[in-house]
Amino acid sequence: MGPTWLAVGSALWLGILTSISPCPLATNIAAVSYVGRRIGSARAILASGVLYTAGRTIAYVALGAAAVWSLMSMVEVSAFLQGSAHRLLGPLLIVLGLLLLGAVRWSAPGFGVSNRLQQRVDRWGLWGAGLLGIVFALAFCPLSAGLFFGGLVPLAADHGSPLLLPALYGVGTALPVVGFAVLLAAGVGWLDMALAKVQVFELWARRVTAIVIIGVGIYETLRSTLFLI
Amino acid sequence: MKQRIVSPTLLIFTGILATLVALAPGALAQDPPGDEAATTAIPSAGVVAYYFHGNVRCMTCRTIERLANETITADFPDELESGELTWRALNVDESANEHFVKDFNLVTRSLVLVSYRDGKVVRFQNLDKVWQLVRDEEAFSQYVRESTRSFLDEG
Repeated sequence: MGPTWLAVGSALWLGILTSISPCPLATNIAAVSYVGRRIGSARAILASGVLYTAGRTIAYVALGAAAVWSLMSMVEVSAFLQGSAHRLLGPLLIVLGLLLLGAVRWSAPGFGVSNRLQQRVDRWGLWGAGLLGIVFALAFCPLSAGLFFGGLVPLAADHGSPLLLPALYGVGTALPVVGFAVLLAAGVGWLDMALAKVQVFELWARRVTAIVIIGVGIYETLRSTLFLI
Repeated sequence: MKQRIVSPTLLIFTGILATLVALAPGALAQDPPGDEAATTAIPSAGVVAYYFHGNVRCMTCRTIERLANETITADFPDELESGELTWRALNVDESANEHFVKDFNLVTRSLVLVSYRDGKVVRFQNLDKVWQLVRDEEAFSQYVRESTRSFLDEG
C-alpha cells in the first residue's frame, strides 16, 4: 500500500511543526545564518539551502527506514540521540563558529596562498551546509523525538513508506531555512547594484555568522550539555 | 602579511570549551521539585494517567504536562475521587523509574494511560498525538479527554 495524499501532507506538516517549534529554533537560526553568509552569490545561497535540506532529509530517511524496517530499537536510539548526541551539539557549534572566524582571518586580501585556502574553505563551506543539516537533524530534543518517532515513524509504517514519508518530513523541517535562502537569493540582484560593497558585506556576514553560531553553541551548551538553563 | 593559524582568541575559546565539556557530567542536571516522590508505587487496580518526563524539562514538555493534568482534573473528578483513575508525573531519569521506558516503549516525554489489575499491567495506550496537538489547547484537551474516556470504558 502506497502513501495517500493525506499521509504525504501529514508527513510534510509534521516536519513543518518540528521546524517552527521553540526547541529546534536555535539550530534553525544557526542554519539560516550559515546558509545566508555568502550574500554576494545567489547560486551559493540557494545551493547551501538545498544541501542543508538534503542533509536533513538523508538523516531522517536513514533513521525512518531503519525504524520502519525494525533494524534498530527506537527506544534506545531515541534516548541516545536526545541524550549524548544532543549534548555534543553546543560544543560542536562553538567549534564551527571558531572555524568560520578562522576563515575570516585567513582571507587576507592580496595573499595568494590564503586566497586559495579561502576558496577551499568556501567549497567545503557549501558541503558543510549538508553536514550541518545531518547533524542538526540527528540532535533530537523531546519535541522532535515526539513528532518523528511518535508521529512520523508510525505513519510511515502504516503506509509502508519507509523512504518517501521520512524524506518529506526532512524537507518540512528545513522549509524555513529554504524560504530564507530563496528570499535572500532574490535580494542578491538588489545587492549587485552596490557590487563594490559586496566583499565588505561578505566579510561582515562571515563574522556575524560565526558569532551567531558561537552564541547558539554557548546557549545549547548551557541548556543541553550542562543543564544550567 | 603574517598568517596566524592559531589565534589567541581561538585558544581562549578552546579553553572555555574544554572547561564546559569537562564540567558536563549529569551531576549538574537539576531535577525540578515534583510531587511524584510519594506516589511512585504501582496500584493494584485501576487506571493511571502517567506523564513521564526527564531531568531536562523543556517548555513544550511543561505545557503538555500542565494541559494534560488540567484536562484530567477537570473532566474526571469522580473517577479521581473513587481511585478508578490516578494522575502521576514521574521522572524516568531516576533509576527507580527507568524500567517504564522499556515497559511502555517511551521514545520521548510521554502521556501514557495504563490499566492495572492485581498489580500487573493489563494494557496501556501512549497518547502520542500530544506533540502534534500541543499548539491547539482545545484540540489537545479533547484528544486527552476522549482517549481517557474510551480507555476507562474498556474496563
